[in-house]
Amino acid sequence: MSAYLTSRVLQALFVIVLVAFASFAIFRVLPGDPLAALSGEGEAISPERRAILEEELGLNAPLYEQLGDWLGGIVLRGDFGRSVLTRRDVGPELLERLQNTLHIGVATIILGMLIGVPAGVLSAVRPNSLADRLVTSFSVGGVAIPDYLIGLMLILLFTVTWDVLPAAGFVRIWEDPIQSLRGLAMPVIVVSWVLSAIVARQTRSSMLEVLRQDYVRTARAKGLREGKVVFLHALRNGLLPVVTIVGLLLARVFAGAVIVEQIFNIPGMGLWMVSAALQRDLLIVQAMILVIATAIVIANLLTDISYGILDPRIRYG
Amino acid sequence: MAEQAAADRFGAGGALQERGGARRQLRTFFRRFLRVRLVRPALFILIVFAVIAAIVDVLPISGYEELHTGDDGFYLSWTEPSWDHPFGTDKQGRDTFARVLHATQAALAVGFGASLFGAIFGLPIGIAAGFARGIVDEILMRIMDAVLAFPGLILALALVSVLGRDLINIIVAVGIANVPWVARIARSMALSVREQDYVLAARTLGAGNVRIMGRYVLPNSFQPVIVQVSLGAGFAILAEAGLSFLGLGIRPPEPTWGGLVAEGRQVIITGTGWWLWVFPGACIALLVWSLNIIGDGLRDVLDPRLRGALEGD
Repeated sequence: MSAYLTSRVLQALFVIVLVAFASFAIFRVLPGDPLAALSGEGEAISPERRAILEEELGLNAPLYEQLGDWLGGIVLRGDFGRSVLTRRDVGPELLERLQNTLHIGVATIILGMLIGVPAGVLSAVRPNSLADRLVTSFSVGGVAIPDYLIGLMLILLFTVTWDVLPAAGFVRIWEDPIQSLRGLAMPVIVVSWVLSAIVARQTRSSMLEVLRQDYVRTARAKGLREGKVVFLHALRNGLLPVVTIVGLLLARVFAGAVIVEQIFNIPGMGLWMVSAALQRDLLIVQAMILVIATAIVIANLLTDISYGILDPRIRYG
Repeated sequence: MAEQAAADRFGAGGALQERGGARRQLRTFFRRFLRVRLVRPALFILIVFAVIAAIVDVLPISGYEELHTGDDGFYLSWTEPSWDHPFGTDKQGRDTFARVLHATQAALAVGFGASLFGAIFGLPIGIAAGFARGIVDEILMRIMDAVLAFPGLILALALVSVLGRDLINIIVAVGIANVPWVARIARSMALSVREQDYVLAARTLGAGNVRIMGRYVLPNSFQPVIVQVSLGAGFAILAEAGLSFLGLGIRPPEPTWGGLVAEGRQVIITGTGWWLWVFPGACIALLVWSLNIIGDGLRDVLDPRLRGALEGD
């Protein structure tokens, strides 16, 4: 177990280093201009101004030195650098916005599980029934509908037609719980739509597998009620493979956040990243993709490890 | 030559089939493929979109930039669907129907361009990794893991912000996310093929690594990769539409489905303009759905063992 753990952690660290390299390389090695945000459409900034700015931002140092400074700043001092446009530090604002995005993320994963797991169990227990067909169509068809389309349909229903939910005006849960939940309702439904489709699909296939096992037959044979067999015996093992897709779900949450923060005007990481990308304020985008990808690598590592702890049948190394 | 003849006799992934046999195999494949649930309507939808993209420039519809005016000489802003404008018009009086049809070209170009990009780069990477094993494998696959760590839309967004918003840049930006999926599949094929007896036979007869990869591993990887190209095209179309929706897609005035939905979003709160986003949105959903069904269907027919193993993001 410990040999496996060590190699798995080392692997993840290696991937994080590669992720950091990639985040840096996208913005410095590819033909792009870090100062692009400051030059207008078609016109460049004056060479004198460019020289001053490059000096100030350390852009004329060799690439490896810039990479070292950037990563060193993040790891040692939590310093993500400075926006070219606003001259403000990226770090503190990132922390602010991360909290807002986490509102969506936490609520979405809870709702996605609450819908996806029972749906998957239901369709696995009665294969080819009407319920199964509904769930399967949803998990195939649901992922084809773009999230913003669902968002717009919800706004049309709940804001324009019935006027029961606000289409903008996000507040944090600890500031005004009721208002916060009302503001979160639509964005969370949008992101958990796809999430629950993925969870349902995974739960269904792993439950189908588990329900075929001998111990389930034994449980039935000794006269346990079907509900007990399914929920006490089968579900415990059936849920394990669902844990492994947490990294995938996290990726969907971040991608979904980019879209819903735009639609519902929530000042989170996604909205910031899009406006930075549009203004070509590249350092912000660079910091953001590093944080997101690192979070996903760590989530994957933790699920791999917890999988081994949760499932005693798995013995590593 | 001797090595080739011997290897052929051992059968390299069906290479020794007589021509008639190959045709019969293809026919059986299509018969089984068409029998998979929902594959027929999905193929129909895909073909309709492909035909639209091919002939939209010669169709007798208005140009996507043409500004329509009413009898009073004013622009026909935000008119509801009518006989003249089946999908209504936008703010400047442009015909949404024409814009939706024209946008089919961009969607299919990015969809298939990006997923082929993934195949073209993913195949050699995966085959090399699976074949070399050891440290090369470890490094290549960790690089693929690093690419996978970025959610597809977010990676595309970052790349587009640097590269710019030309069609080819968008294809590359979206396509990179497809590379690791193909590489993983190709790697697993390479790992299993290299253990086969016919590879051993070819090797004893003096075939080098490159020859074995090209002659045996590559043809064996095609089937699962075709599945991934279909699923990857669905992802790419969603990603392209997402970029356009965010204002980071192909530059206007060239219409895109995602861009049209974004236009509709700007006026949705006024309770009007639903035709601006409902029609292009439905096109995205239909096309992505059909590609997913076709991909799943191909997988079921080509290799049932791969079920659930190739879940693309």
